[in-house]
Amino acid sequence: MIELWNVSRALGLVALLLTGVVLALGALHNTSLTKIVGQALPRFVLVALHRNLALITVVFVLLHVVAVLVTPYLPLRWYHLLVPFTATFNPWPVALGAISFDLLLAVVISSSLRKYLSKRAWLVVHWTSYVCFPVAVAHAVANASFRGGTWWTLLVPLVATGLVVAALLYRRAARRRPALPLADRGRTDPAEARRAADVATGSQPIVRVDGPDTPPAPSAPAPRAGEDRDAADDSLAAPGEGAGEGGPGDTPARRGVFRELRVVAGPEARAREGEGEQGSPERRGRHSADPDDDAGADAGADAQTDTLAGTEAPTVALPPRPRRR
Amino acid sequence: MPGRRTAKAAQHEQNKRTIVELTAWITVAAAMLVVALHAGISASSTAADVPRVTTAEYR
Repeated sequence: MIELWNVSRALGLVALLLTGVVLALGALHNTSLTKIVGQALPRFVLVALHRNLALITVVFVLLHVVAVLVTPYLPLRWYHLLVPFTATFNPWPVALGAISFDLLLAVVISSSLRKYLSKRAWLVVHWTSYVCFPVAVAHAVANASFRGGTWWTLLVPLVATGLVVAALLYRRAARRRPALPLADRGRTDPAEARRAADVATGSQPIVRVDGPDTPPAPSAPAPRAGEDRDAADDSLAAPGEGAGEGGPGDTPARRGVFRELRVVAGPEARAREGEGEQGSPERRGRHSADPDDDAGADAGADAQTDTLAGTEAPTVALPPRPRRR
Repeated sequence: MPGRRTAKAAQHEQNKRTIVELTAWITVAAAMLVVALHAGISASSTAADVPRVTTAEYR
């Protein structure tokens, strides 16, 4: 009986150590560390390791729970391990274990059902790992005996905590993608999505500067993919920015008018986007086949795009993309 | 370039194998750690390390 209690303790300690490793991997997978390690291990290897080790951790936690349950020495029932503060024996440590077990179950179940959840909901549940781990450490410390001979087992939660803290400190110091506010997680910016669609379809914005210095180029070719893309992006930022407004060579002659080549979405998507926008109808990039002008017409059939040489052949309208919550 | 594509596919397969092997080795290491911790806890355990259960609690 006592041996089973010792086995359960050993399983719990290893599960805690694995939880620390998994948490550290999850905290680091978005940092520049993966770029350093990525020369030997690509990022998807680290992400897959994070997932596989998380599943192995769950197995060890379940073995720990089962060992506690089948030990006849401990008066614990299954609901004591799921519902906090229901156990009369050793109530606080058992409650801490029950809370961390519940949080772990929430993370595992939400990750299993990830395709049915919005990214924000999944992320919020996934972030409870940062609550689950300290509660599990508190469970381990509270169950350890400070008077007996097994005080050295406290080294395991210490090592696991050190791993996680080091990973979080590195994550804080390392260069990584700028963090988005929680409210914006998982949301797609329509303008960004449109720009990505332009890149994906090969319809790069074409920029022309009309001015006295600019020679007329009726048959000027469109910039190829990768060519002058930076210049085009800079010019796209705002109508006045790309023309060197405020720059050292800013003269009225250098100012010009921008025009874009843009594949537009269908009338439904445009109408949906227009619901939230209060922009003027003369905004940049306005399409000739505007759904507001003729709501019943097929924008794909009537679509015409401004090019350097004038109006072009009709383009195919993009189907409306399903928007994620 | 077909040669480069083949090398990339081979590298991808190698990476997938690495995932499986690393997972397996970590699992083995964790299992061995359980055995070692159990042995250490059993060897150093004293009466104070055993949770005291009253008769009422046991019942």
